[in-house]
Amino acid sequence: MRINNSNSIDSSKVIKFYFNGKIYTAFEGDTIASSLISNGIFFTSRSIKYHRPRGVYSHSFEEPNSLFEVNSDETYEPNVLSTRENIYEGMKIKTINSWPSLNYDFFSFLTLLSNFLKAGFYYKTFFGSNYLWKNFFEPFLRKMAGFSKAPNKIDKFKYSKKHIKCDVLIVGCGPSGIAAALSLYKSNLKILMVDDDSSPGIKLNEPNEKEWFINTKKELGDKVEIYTNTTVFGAYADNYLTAVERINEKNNRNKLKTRLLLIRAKKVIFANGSIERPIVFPNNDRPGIFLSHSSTYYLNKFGVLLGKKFILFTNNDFAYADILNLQKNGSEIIAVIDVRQNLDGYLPKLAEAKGIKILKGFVISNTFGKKKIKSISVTSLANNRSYNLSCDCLLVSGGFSPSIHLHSQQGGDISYNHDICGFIPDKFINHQICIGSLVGKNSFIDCVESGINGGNYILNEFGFKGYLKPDLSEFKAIKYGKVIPFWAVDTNAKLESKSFVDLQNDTTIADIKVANLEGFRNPEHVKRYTLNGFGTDQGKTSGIISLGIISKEINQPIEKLKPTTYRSPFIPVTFGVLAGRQIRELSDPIRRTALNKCHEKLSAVFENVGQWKRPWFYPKVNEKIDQAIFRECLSVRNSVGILDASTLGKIMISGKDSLTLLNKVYTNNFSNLGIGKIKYGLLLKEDGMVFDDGTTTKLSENRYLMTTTTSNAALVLDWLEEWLQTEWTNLDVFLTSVTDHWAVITVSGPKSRHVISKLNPSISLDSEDFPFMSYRQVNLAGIACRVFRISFTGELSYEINIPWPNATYIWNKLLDAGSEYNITPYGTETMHVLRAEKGYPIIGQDTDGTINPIELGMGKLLSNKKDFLGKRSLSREFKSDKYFVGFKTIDPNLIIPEGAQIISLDRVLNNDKENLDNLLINGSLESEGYITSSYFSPILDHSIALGFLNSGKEKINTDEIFYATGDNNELIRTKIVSPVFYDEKGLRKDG
Amino acid sequence: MKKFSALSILTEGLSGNKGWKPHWQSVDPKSQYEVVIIGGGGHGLATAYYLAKNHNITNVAVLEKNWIGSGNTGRNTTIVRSNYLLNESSRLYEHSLKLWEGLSKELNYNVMFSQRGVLNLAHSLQEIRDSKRRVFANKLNKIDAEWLDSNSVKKYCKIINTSKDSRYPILGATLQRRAGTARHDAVAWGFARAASNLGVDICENCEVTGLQIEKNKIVSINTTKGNINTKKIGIVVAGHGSVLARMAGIKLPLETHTLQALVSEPIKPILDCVVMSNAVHVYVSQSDKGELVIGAGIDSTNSYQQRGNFSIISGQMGSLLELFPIFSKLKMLRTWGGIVDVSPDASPIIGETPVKGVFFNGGWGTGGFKATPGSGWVFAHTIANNFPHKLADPFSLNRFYKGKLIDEHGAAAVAH
Ligand SMILES: Cc1cc2nc3c(=O)[nH]c(=O)nc-3n(C[C@H](O)[C@H](O)[C@H](O)COP(=O)(O)OP(=O)(O)OC[C@H]3O[C@@H](n4cnc5c(N)ncnc54)[C@H](O)[C@@H]3O)c2cc1C
Repeated sequence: MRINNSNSIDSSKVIKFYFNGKIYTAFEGDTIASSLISNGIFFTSRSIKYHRPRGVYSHSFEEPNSLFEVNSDETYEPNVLSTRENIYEGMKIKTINSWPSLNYDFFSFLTLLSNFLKAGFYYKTFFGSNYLWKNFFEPFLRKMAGFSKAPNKIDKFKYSKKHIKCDVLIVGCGPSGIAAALSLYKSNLKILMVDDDSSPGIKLNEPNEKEWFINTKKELGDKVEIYTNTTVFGAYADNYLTAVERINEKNNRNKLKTRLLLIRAKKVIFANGSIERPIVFPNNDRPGIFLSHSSTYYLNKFGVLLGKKFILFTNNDFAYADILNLQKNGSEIIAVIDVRQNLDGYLPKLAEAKGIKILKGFVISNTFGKKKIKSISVTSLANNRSYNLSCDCLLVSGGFSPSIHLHSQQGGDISYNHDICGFIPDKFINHQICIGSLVGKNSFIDCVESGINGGNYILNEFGFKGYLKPDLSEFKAIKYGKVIPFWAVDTNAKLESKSFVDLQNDTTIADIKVANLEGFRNPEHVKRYTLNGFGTDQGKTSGIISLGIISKEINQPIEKLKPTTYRSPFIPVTFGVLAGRQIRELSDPIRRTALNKCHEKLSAVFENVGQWKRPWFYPKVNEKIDQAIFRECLSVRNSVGILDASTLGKIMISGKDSLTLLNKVYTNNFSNLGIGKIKYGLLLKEDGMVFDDGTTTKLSENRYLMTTTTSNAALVLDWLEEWLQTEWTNLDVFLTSVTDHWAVITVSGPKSRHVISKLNPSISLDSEDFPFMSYRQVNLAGIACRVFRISFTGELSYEINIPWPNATYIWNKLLDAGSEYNITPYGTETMHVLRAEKGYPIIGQDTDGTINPIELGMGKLLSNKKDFLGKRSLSREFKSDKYFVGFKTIDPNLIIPEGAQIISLDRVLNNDKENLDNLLINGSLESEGYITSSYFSPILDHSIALGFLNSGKEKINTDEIFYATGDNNELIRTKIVSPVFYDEKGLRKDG
Repeated sequence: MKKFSALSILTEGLSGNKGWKPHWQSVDPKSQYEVVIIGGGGHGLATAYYLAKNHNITNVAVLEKNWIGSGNTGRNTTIVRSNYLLNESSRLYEHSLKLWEGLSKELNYNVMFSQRGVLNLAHSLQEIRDSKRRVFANKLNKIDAEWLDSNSVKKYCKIINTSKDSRYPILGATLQRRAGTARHDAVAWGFARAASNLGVDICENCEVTGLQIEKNKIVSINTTKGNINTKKIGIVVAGHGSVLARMAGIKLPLETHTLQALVSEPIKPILDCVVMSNAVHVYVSQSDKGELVIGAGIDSTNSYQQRGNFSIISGQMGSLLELFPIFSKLKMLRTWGGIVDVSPDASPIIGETPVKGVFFNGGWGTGGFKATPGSGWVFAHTIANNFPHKLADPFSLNRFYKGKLIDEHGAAAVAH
């Protein structure tokens, strides 16, 4: 019921919304919860396990009950928490977990079976048959669990991220947080404040307190940056805090939904207050039962009253402020049920003076009202006498539990505080302090003082002098009576099954007792066994209560128990905002070479290689992949081809110890490499396995250019840096990644020399002046280039390094120059085929981190004159005899699948029907090897494959038949040959 | 032990649920045992159970510094599969998978082993090669394995995005239908209950603080609950392997990292299988409770903190949403970290150590949950016989001296 219009809502803007198909109105600024309540809707939901009627229970992130599905089109949202989400025009709110309707729910009979569905019942049954579990029980349990349906459409909302650095982050803009800011704001420190609510301070009732709050905020002005509607949900090492900001629908032109704030603060002040907790009693879950402080919130913020006839159940004085506030606004207060016998605090006295009936030493022993609370039973603790009282709203307060979550997330210590009956931060984490009700302060004045002092302390930490000592004498220090620890009302076994500790998971006192009986006594075990605290509210209200109940059950004081660990996030955070804009094509950066446009113009099909997009092949019109590769391969072998090799990793190595580094990491010796010369080398990991390969060129004294494979470029650089920075710190070496400083064009084929010379006829390119494995600084078409004579195809080749911006120019020049030879751009696939014909392994394709140089047939690259990384491992006892070999199929047209396993049979297969499945009938088969690369070789007109074979070296060129596993379980016959299929003498590299 | 069945639930329900008994007896340790298992995770408890069950050794204690299952057993994403590449691994994990298939019955405890199928996605030509190699290798070992092209992946998992223009399109996947997930806590509790029933002492809140070695032999153990004499111990402490081994003067080749995971809020059933993508570091399944359970990549720094860095979590979200764009509006509910010990070849170390009577089982890294029953089985055998079980033999510590590595990770690059 709405009684007035508070300034948090805009009563000129009426909003129509739907709840379970029916239309209602609310005002702009309302939450779903306040909209429902203002329309008199209290029964909003069904509980997950027993399908009991439930309603809104609280006002913020602690809400356990009222989760909804919103809308059904592409703006659909699952598990929307009514207390946190603003209402908007046309919003369609739907109850979850009820069928066919909220009012008549089929599964509500489950509540009758609660005796058989106690905590952990599913561990004790359903395991008679794997078949039934898989096809019946598990699917049924799964169907019953879970809240909303998952969305089935692409998310149209936008999210973003913002990185913020500040001197001081104040979490919480209540009185203590604002007071801390007051101490700090005159310094030139960068201060950031965040508050979860849209109107912090809204729960203040006293006029002078409200006034102080508003004036102070005004005074702070723009000296502090305040983010409201923003929740800090994670606290990580070194004051890295993560928050999520809900963007106001109203002025949201970009359709931004939420924004992730990633905050690095020099100092953090936690002023994020406390959360009211309930007391548990029989049937404490009916619609119309609320946390006490929520009544103040709904009234002050939305002008909404939670009922007409109120009863309050409490163990503390603070809740009296709520009931007095309600009385002031014309509500009828039926009674206050206070578990305490002696009330000496100021507020209960004031309440009594205002004519409010207080039942001292009483508890609630039951409640009534099927879909909304109608009346309650109260029982005297002294004489057990009971009677009934009617009401339409029952407020409950069991005291306040400090929000220690963020402090605890970082492993911060906590201790039990008897004054507030709750856990508070104990030792603060470095560069952080906690203030206000978070550390157990109760009154407004205490909180403000705690904030001022905290602010002064931080000021001091930054080296500022001069403290703020404001005059706060106008605020009277209220005397509060003692809170007594009271978690749950004692009752009989039957009603224990109706006394809900965790409203969301329907965990009752009976469940916790059964758990205890079954030996689950550690709070972590109880949580896992009963699911208490596992809900979307993460036990914000139920955690401490279950601890209280456990403490009683196992007869140990609560301060001896440890609450279950708090973890990020403090509130649920959408995946969408965590990803921010790093989705789709931005989910991982795309790297393109300088020649990308040229490739697109040639209709290249691209392949992902690491983050790079590389041309895979260049199909002509109507050409299939195989045909394109056939054509590309033969062009290189017979005339000339051109390849974009820019993605190869390139590392500049300079400094006087460069050579020392090379000799430490490469297996072979680089000492005798002359200037302008190139050497191939292998890099091993400590375990002696090949990690990467490439060439290194000596550019000048103490300057080398190392190349790596495309995929390992960053890894190799990291690897070298790691050694330099951690083990070889005395070496004078600098590493610079120049991968994208130099574009690389490889011109390969017998006609390549002719093509290059057209770009600069004055240079001599013949093999005497410019021999294989050497490098020249050459001017090509007016551009200073580096040309390397290395070959990955076996043909005469020139690798031209061109300054990145000039790459397209040179590419086009080369295409022009080569047109008379039909110069053919070729992609990675052709490159793979050509190198396979030559038996060159690709690190990462033919090797997998478990291959050493000897197995790879490169034993001769292991220097015995020097030490190198991985050498020691190679001297270990175990030597495998697997060896890198070539496979030539008996049928030249059958291509073995890459990844095929090789088996050897003690007989020759009779026919093709003898496939793998048939062989396996008699038991498993031993693998003798596997295929790493496999192609059809156009120049050889034969299928070829590379791979590893046990005792491979001895099998080369024997007649022995091996069998490779085919994609359809067929077995492909093959012989073993040298991996060098073509030009075994290596004559073609000089053209 | 009170037998669990539908009937027991019924009779207890009718009589007020007063007759339930502790699933296991949590006791203080005695001063002497034949075998002491250090670490009350799944592996330690399974070891104790099989010592009693298969080898009739019941004078056994399991010492757990917190509560049982508090380590990685209660923190993992519960993927159970056996489709490993290398013979040594796949045979061990397959042995384990076979035990999983009868585990609930064996333990009289529903560990909710759910054979819903595991997809390992391939996003590049190289991953296709690697995947097929694994499938072929599995076939030779008679382990169920299939290669699916991207259309078949889509058919098997309808909500996955196989679009060609996603950042790293799904080119195919391997599928093991017998693989799946299990309820991690129940595994610890079920083994504890069964072991306790056979006479094993389960000692919680009992931290081992020192190991007394004389003449290169274990003689006793110091704990926060007193000293214990014994001639044999099994160290099964996951992320604390090097810490415990050091107490025995043994230096192990292990690196310790934090591994994080997270769950979403519960939603109605949407994902019926397990999807793993190594290239983009995402592992996801949906628990019976309705939460999406998502594993992340490893935190690269070495740490003993059960907390990781935010960037690991947020960094993987884009990739997750690439695979499942419809998950964008789901909410992350809880994140956590566990401490994992990773060996140089990313395979476990099981067996004897240089100190007599000290047996070690660890280094399972990011993927030991699936091995729980099998690991317990072979470790119990090894301890009981003072001789490695044949499936455990290749995993002995001396493989690092000999150089016979089992580099599953290097070769297959699949974590978990
Ligand atoms: C986030 C995450 C996800 C994972 N996902 C998967 C997955 O999907 N599939 C999979 O197969 N594996 C997965 N794993 C790995 C798997 O969890 C572990 O390999 C496995 O659970 C280890 O079991 P355990 O019993 O050896 O260790 P734990 O369960 O960690 O048990 C070791 C116990 O030793 C105790 N302990 C330590 N020191 C002492 C001491 N001094 N005295 C007494 N006790 C001590 C610890 O408290 C702990 O309880 C994952 C791990 C993590 C962290």
